[in-house]
Amino acid sequence: MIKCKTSREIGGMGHPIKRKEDDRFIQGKGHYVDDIKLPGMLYMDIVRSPFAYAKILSINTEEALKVPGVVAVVTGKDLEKYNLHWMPTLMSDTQMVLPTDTVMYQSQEVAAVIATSKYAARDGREAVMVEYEPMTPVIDPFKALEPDAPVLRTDKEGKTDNHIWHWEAGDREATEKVFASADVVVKEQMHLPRLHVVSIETCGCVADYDKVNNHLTMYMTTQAPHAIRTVIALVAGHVGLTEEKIRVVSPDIGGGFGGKVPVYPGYVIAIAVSFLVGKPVKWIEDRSENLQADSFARDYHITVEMAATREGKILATRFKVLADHGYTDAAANPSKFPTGLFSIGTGSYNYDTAFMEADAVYTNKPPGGVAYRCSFRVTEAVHAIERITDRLAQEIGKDPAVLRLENFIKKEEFPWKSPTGWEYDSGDYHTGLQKAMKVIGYDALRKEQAEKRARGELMGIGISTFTEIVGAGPSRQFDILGIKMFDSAEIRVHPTGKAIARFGTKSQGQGHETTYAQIIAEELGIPAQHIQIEEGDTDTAPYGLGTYASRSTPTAGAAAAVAARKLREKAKKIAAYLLEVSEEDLEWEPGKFYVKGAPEKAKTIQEIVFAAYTNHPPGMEAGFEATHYYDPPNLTFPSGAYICVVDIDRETGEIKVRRFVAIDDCGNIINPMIVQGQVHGGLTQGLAPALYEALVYDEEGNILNGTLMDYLVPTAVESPHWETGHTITPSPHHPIGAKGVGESPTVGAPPAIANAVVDALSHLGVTHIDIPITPPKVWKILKEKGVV
Amino acid sequence: MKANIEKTFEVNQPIEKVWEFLSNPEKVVTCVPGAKLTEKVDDTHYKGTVSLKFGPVAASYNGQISIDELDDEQHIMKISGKGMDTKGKGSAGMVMDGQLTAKGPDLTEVGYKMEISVSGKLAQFGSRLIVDVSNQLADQFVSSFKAALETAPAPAAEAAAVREEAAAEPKDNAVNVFALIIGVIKAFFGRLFSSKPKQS
Amino acid sequence: MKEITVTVNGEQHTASVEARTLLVHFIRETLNLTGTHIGCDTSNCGACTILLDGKSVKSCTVLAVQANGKQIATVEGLAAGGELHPLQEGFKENHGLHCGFCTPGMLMRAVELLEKNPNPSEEEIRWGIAGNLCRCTGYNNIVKSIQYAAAKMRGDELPDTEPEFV
Repeated sequence: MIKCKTSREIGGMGHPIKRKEDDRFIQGKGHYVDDIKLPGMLYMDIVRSPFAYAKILSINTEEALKVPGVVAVVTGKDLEKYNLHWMPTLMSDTQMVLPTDTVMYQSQEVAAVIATSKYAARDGREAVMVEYEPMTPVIDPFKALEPDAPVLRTDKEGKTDNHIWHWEAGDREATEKVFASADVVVKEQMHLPRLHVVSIETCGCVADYDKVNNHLTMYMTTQAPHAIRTVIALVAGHVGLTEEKIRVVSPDIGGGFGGKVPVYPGYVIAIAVSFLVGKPVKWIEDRSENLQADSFARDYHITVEMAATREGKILATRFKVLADHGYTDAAANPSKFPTGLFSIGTGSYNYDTAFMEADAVYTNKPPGGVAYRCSFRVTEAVHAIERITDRLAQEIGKDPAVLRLENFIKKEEFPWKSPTGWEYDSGDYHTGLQKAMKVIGYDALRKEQAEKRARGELMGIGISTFTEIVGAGPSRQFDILGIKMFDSAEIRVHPTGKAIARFGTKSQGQGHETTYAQIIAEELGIPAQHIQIEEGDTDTAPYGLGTYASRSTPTAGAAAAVAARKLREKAKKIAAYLLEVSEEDLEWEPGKFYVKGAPEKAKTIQEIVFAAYTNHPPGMEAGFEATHYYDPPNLTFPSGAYICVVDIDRETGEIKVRRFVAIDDCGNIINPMIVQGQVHGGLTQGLAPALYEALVYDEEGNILNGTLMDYLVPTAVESPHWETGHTITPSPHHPIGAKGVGESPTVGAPPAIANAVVDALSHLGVTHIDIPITPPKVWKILKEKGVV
Repeated sequence: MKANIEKTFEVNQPIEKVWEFLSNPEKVVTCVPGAKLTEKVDDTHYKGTVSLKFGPVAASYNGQISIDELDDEQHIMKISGKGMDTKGKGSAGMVMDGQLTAKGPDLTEVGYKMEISVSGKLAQFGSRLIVDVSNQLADQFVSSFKAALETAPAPAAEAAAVREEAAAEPKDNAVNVFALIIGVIKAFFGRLFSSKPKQS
Repeated sequence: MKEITVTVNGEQHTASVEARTLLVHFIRETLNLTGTHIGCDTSNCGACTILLDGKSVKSCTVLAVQANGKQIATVEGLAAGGELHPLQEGFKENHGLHCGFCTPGMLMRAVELLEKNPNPSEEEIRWGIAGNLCRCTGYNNIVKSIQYAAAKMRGDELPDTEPEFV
């Protein structure tokens, strides 16, 4: 049971109170970007390249301009006049807004058609004639590094290959030494496929430039409105759009998952067009454009090795990564972390030697990759460590649960310094796994599996015990384009004791309007239902870096708690003044200060706040407001123990997830209903790449599943009934002991499912299958092994 | 996106007559669904168009055909074609190896191998269908080819007539792939049910 | 242009539309009922689901002219007389939504589902909403929300809405 300090009426931390934001969503009154309609608004549609790599010989706009309603067609040459044809990526690479001569991937933006209606814009798009000279594209990232591979980024002076960067962590020599003398070494090569976030709302914007006042209001689907404002100012400052003249509004967002962090060319073109014509311009991409052109996630080729003793004591790990970034490095990572937080990949296990290296390459594919419901490449890292741990168990013939329990970092060993330099704040891995085993009935399942195997039936049990790393991050290490990754909260309590609080983050469904209110309710005793939360308008909210990488609770949530505590200090002074006692004589209980030993002598928070406006102590500043910019001292390290049971049809290779138990530890829980909901959703997003999803390209760079007809997003039928639970190991350094949870399930589920499938086939000698593990893949294996 | 097609069929005509027809691009094109020649560049190079319709989406390719090999003795030929979508939505290419074998005085076996490659819109949206559609198109070619040789007394004259008609009504020349897809779907289910063991 | 008359949430509208106008665009752009969303271009996601003469349809796959003379129900008309529909209540009580983008379509699909089957099993609900994609919730709580609404509409005792978070 979760213990609550406040009453349900106050609704502080731990209460599963219903969400405040739901009323508008269930009545069709959500306000998303595509719902915005402004007077005189124009519509933009985008002509896209059919080729993965081609020279543009000509763009003929004549016919398009004849289409009724079409007002303009914008090409790269037009933008070049304003030096707006290229833009920087978050990783300090460069990306085309519109090409002037070459297209680098299929579905890349080639020209924009502006018209008075959506339909006219689409008609115009069809009428634009582009003459291309196709070139042989580089699609395979391994071939991209071969010496005779054509150099793709000829725009970069002096570039002689397709290599982007090299990265290392850990100790190469020490790791080599351990591997050379270890009893057992296991090794697998795996591919984490290119994925798409597929938020049900696609990306889009309404750029509204007011010529008279030289002011831009940019309504857009962004998870980081403040950072976007700064980026726009950096890109367009030279044409007079300086930062005070820019307002970015992120209204309701229909799912983000990392895909709404990058700045896509469509946004920039819309701004440029609005700036030139002085009218609002709406651009909403359709689903196919979204799948084919917006930033992908993952696409890591990983070779992972583990060294151990014969008894199964893990000694060292080694990782080698090839990262396919498409034609530009448009990853959404903190600037100093080209592989994000991949170095968390040493896992939940106690050993002191590891080495990791990664190389990134350019190919003729869309740029990326975004941190898809993942704190920057943690999913890739966790898949590798959890798969190789199972591989070790298989090699030495030990139960994978036992192997894990023997190797876990113990509760009392925290804070624990990882071989790649992280300081894990807290964890209790043994309790988590034991709980998961108990809930699912692990021993009985192993028995059932043995019986079924004897009968020739295929059943597998897979475990994943992951450590996440979220809440970027401490300013000494973490920045995006130089801006430190703090986050902010501003609380204003009105004279009648009701409050409004604003944040630098932006909910895309996480329920901030409810959970932030609960944090403030916990600290101030003002009922959560009377605390209004606002985010996403850069004119009103304090500056912050936004919501992604499970950072909202660790950063902005902490800011809310600290700001509320500042107010509680002020409340204490006012209470002392009103009760005519000294501050030391006062005790706090949620909602009021009372005199020690005389609980009837009390002032409620509402009375105190009223006094702050009507009868504040002499010498004190009036009002009741506080702001805090929270710079976390460390990251937080949530963890989880997941167990999955699969049954495989030996005739068809069909995989059925029979049961899936997820025990998560995200520290103190703000709202168990919302935490559980986040886990459910993340699990389905973990199931997706494990069994269904991957963006597939042919050798010429054609995307073969660029629509939802072919890119298989799990429905309620594929998605099993998730069983969820929790353990609580608070973060010692976080003001409310919370850790963040949104991504854990997406990170932890794929290896649990993959491990279960491999486990079902392990007696046939199968040691690894790349995800997505589709029925044809399994069927082929069964055929090869003579089972079918 | 690539599709490979290999077919053999027989024509009830002497080999020289079949060869005369097959090796003449102006004649044989009349049997290629949706295709027509627009210009003869030289003896081995031609320009032409291929029109396909995917329901409401029409794709029209402007291309070049080149006869890379023509062996009158062995009755072997190699033809390649390459085309760009007229609206800049993609490209398509084809390499074909053909060979005739005399099976009797009035019976000739035609064998050919084709590699079709498609890029752009059609590859994106038609990837699952492209092999089956290509097969259907190939079957249409076979029946037109046989019809032209076996039934028509003066195929060249008829071909010319067809060409003229096509020029007058270019829309009708486009192959309606939507109709073909129906055939593809039938074929798919045919395969599905024929290979499935009977449930008891 | 063609003139059509439709009854939307009980209110009659006459408008002239291009023959090719999709019903979802007519609802969103002409009638300004933006509760019906667009999530894809291939009729897979179901965010645009509405009721056309009582039958749930994906309004991106219907032409506005096809709706001429018909009854349309959208999410905006679901709450009658200021009172939430049992499904709306169910979704709120059971955390059946996160970002809210798929929610209107889910609700409208579920209306027809419960009309046809007032007491569906979990399996029946899952198959019943298989034409509607949700990327946030993992579907567990959508199923629970629909079960809650079904119980309420049958007049049965309401199921517990506390999270089963062991």
